[in-house]
Amino acid sequence: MNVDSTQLIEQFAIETQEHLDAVEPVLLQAEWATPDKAATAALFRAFHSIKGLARLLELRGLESLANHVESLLGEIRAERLVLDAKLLPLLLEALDNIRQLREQGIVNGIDAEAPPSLLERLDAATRSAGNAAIETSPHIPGEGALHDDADTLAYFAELLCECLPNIGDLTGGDTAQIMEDLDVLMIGAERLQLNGLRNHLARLIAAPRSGQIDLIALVLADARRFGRIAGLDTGAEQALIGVMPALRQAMAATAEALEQTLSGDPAAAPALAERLLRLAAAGLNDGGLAALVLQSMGDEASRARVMPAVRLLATGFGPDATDASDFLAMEAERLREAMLAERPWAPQLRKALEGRAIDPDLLGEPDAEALRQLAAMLEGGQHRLMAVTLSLPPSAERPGLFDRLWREFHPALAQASVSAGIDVLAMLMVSSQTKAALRARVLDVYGEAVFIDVREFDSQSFDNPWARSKMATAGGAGVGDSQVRVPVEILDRLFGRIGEFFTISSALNVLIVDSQVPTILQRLTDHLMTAAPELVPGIDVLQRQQNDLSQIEAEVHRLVSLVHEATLGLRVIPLDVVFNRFPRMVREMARAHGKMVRFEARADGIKVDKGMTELLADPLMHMLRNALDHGVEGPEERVAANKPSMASIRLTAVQNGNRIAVEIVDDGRGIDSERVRLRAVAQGLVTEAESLKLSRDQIYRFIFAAGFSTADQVTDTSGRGVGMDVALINVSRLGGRIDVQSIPGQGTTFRLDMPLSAAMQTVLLAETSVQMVAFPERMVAEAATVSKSVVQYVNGQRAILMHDRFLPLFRLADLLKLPDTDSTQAGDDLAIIIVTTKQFRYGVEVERILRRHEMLIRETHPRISQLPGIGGVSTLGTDRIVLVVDQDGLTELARAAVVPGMRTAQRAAGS
Amino acid sequence: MPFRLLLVCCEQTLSHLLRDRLAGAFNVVGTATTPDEAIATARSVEADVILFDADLWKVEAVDLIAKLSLVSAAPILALSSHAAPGSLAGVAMLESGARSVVPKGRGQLPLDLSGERGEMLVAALTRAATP
Repeated sequence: MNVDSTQLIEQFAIETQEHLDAVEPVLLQAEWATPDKAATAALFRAFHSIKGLARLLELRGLESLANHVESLLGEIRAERLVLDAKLLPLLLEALDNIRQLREQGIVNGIDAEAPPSLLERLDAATRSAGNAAIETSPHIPGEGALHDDADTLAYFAELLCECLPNIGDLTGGDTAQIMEDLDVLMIGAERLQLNGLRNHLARLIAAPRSGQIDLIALVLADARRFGRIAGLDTGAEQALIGVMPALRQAMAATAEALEQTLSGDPAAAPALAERLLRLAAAGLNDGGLAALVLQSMGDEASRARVMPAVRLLATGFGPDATDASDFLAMEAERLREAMLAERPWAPQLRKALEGRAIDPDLLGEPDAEALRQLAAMLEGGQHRLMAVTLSLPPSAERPGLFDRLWREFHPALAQASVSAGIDVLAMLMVSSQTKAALRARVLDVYGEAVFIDVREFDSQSFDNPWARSKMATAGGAGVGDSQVRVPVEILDRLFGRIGEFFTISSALNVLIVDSQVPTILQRLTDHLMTAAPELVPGIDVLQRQQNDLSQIEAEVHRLVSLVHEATLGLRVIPLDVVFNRFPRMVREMARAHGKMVRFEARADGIKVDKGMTELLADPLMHMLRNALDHGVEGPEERVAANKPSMASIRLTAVQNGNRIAVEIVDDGRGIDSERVRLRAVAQGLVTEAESLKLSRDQIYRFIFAAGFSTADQVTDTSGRGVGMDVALINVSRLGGRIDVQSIPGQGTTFRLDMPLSAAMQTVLLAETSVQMVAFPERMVAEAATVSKSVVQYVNGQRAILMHDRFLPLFRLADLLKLPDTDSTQAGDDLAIIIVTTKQFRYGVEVERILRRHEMLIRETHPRISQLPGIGGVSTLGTDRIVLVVDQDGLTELARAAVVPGMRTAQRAAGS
Repeated sequence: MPFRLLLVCCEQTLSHLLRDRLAGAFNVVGTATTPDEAIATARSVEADVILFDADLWKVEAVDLIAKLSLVSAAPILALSSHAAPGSLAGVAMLESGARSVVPKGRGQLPLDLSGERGEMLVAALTRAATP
């Protein structure tokens, strides 16, 4: 499900709930006092709004019902009707139905129909106002309705009620009347074009007596289904009573035949199993056993397993049996479990997938390769669940592509969808490869992909296409019930309190952990044993209570930590939410301009404060439009300039400590600074003389001047001189800046650099002897413990050999100039974090590598942010300050620290 | 004479894929991608078998199966990513009027239709279509 529709549903849920909450008290009060004019008008408006919202979500049934209520209230508002004790129950019933339809729409995404009888009564009440001119909206049938006209369906249901109940007479009794009835039904079915039912009726009429029961069962099953869909009685239940003896007899006989067949002639078994289901579907209470038996006809092992079930069907429907439905249901449950347990990998894997918010039921029958991969993931290690999404070629090329992708990746799950207007394929796979490597492999298979996204699968993903569908969790908590709107100030206050609570809890934790009490008690016990044995029981009590205390403290601390963590996640949302709206926009604009563009948006799982996403969306949109309109050229111009005809626009976000940089990079024609200068002079932004003194960067700044435009023509998308100035204003409000770099003929880069007031980041925690340090995950290539003996000196520089390459090795404490109490590490091992940047790879030696951790990086105190190599600070559960390393800063420090000559040596050794 | 097949699948990519894959073995006499289209086409087109992809519908798939079974005399084969043998979903589909239920391999889009899985589907459809 895409983000837009989820948000739409949430919005719908919240707003309709507000209307319903407003309506109910008014209606309830109406029992004692007739609502005044204002209250009636409010009721009218509420239902009117619900109608409009329902239409937005294409919930036709809800729309129709709200419309009927609105019409009735219209009459009351116009004082042609009085909201009295007669109308009130009707309105309350309508309200209940509206709640139900709304619930179904939200939870299950189902557009259910309103009960026709209710609509009719509402209409009748409205008509009773005596106003002939009122408009009743035509009945809007639900999607996939059996017939456009509800009256026709109701008429046919009545016909079924009249003609069906005596169908049992066919099996003995006066057949003339029932044959006539069946003829009538057949004509009705033909009129309604119920061809399936018509076919069954025709065959029943023509059938010899011996073959009738099967066809009667089919007709009854049809009637039951019709009744269920139309919400009407069809007389099928009544008919079943008359047919029951014959039906049970046929069922028992078939089961018996199947039992013999299963051990003798399995080829004939499926047909018998089909017959069991056919008979049962007439309305026998078999607990689904017949369907399960039919599903087990595939191979010998499954056939053998259903023997007890078949036996039970034979006896349960036999002449001597009374009601066996409980036994049948129990056996069905047992059989179902046995069938599902056929897949021994299932339980473990189900749990793993569920933990990642993936619907495990989607995982049909994975082949050996997929199972091997999934098993590797369960064992831990380097294997991770990766989601790869790519755009699809024209449909003619897809079968070939799918086949190649299948062979290359053996994805665990695959699904096609339309994302932002583009046909995309999403694959979920287990891989030990990096995102870049996976991306390269996709490009190997399909180089023309205009969009590829590779990300580690994360249950937080908003648009997880493998999430258990809402349809499948019917009855779960509705969005409407689980949504509350809370002002941000209240949240902030709450966060503050929880923060304090957390701090106190941490202090308590330290107190308990470092407590001397247990040791002292122990010493006292030892002493008192001899000195004053009568006091020992008292000490025992103290010890026990001390134990209880520390146990409870541990539990409290754990819970408080969880609460704390949960609150951190409340205000931050993935940047993807913003980025996801762009692919479609870019694609449509590119098409409108006749340009070919490969657009890539990567937020790399960065989460930002919600307020920030709202301020960022507009600037990014303007800048992307600008890149499309002015930046990239059309295919002919590009080919003429010796560039690939497909242009590229990339939107990426990178987090550096507590700053975030968003880049929009195009490979277009670049900015013509001379033209910008002339335009700026022409628009009076600067004098000719002054403009000649400006540097190119200074000239570029004119792009952000209000009303500035270099476009000769105003186009749909840009050139109106509005946009870039808005971008600058918004980014400034976020406390950031925009840089422009442009190389004529090669492209333009806009770089938005902003602080993050609060940003979640995954880090690798490590310790130096005095300080805990967090390495943002994206800068860590590898973390390893190696033996001290592998450290070598290359031209005077400490280095280690990793993957056939010498990497310079630095002590973190040295780089960051941290005080270092113990310079010689105990033990023979070194904990090393390999840091990788674009140009430089090096090892950082720490005292101990701890674990991965998700933490909130805070706005840094200016004094700390001045420290080279430090990007931010955070606190950890035990109330310890954690320094967050800044990738660029640390790399600078490492570069400065490297002993000259290392670079050449490294190359020599590496080649 | 190949059997006449009506393809009902609301997801375009899979619909195309299935049509291409099955075009050789069957005479594809119609395709439908919305519930309304499905009912209308099943009514008007004479088919020997209906292939119903049960995934991703906005309406209840079992209701649609029931409706299709009412408006068309053709047997219905339901293809589903949720209907492994023994699953409640599979039982519900069978009880709603599907002649047989074929589970998909992995996820809603079977990438391996060109291989063995495609052959299995053709075989199951042929079995369902055979009077």
